[in-house]
Amino acid sequence: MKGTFYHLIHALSAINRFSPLTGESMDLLTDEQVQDIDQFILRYTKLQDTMGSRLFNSILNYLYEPVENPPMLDVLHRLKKLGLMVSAEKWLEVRLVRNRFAHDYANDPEKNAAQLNIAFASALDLYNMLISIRTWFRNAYPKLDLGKELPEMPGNWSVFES
Amino acid sequence: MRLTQEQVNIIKRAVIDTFGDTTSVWLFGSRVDDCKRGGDIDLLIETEETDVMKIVKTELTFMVKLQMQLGEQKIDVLVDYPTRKVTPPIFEVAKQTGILL
Repeated sequence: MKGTFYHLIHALSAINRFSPLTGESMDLLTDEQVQDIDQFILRYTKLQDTMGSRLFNSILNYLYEPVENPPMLDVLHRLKKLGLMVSAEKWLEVRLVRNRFAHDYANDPEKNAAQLNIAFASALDLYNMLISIRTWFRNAYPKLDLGKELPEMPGNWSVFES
Repeated sequence: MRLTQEQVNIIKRAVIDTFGDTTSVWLFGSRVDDCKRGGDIDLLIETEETDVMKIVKTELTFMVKLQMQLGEQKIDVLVDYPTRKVTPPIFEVAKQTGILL
C-alpha cells in the first residue's frame, strides 16, 4: 500500500501544477496531463480498495474474532469506537469519490472537472486516515513492525484546496 | 411507493440539510411501483444552485448522509440545476413518472 501511496503522491505533485481543472481546460489537457490524471485515478482506486476490503477487516480480525463479511457501516463504527478512524462519513465520501471515477459525464466537462478536483482534494483525507491508523497502532502496539514509513504528503499544495 | 415513511422523512431531511429548503426531490424508478421488488432507490433532485463545484460537493455530502442513515441501500441520484448545459431525457422521464417527496 505504501508503494501505491508513493505513486499517488507522485501523480498529485504533477497535477498540482495544472489544477484546478475547469470545463474548458478538460479539452486542452496535454497527453502527459491525461496520463497524470489516469495514474492518480488508478492509485486512488487501488488504495481505497485495499483499505476498504483488506486493511479494515485485517485490523478488526487482528483485534477481535474474525467476522464473515461484516456490513461496512458496522466496520466503520467499530473502527471509530476504537479510535482508529475519526469520521465514518469521510470514508463513505472517499468510497463515493472512487465509485464516481467510472462515471464519465460525456457531455458535461464542467461536472467531470469538478469531480476530479474534489477527488484530488480527498487524497489528503485518505492520507490522514492512514496516518491515524498508523499512529493508533504505534501507541497501542509499540513493538509491532508496521513496515515502511508512509511518504510525506505536503499539506499545503493548492490541489488540496477545494 | 416502496419506501417507508421513515425513509421518506430521512430523504427529505437530508435534502433540506444539504441542498437547502428550496429544493425538490422526486423518487422515480422501480421503487415507485408497488408491484415490483428490490431495486435501487432512484432520486431526482432539483436545486437552484448554479455553481457546479458546489453542486457536486453537496451531492457527495447528501449521499453520505443517506448512506449513514439508510444503510447499505443502493441509491442513485440525479441533480438538475438551472445552468445545466445538457439535460439527458431521463430527467424528464423521472419527473413525469416519479413521485414528488
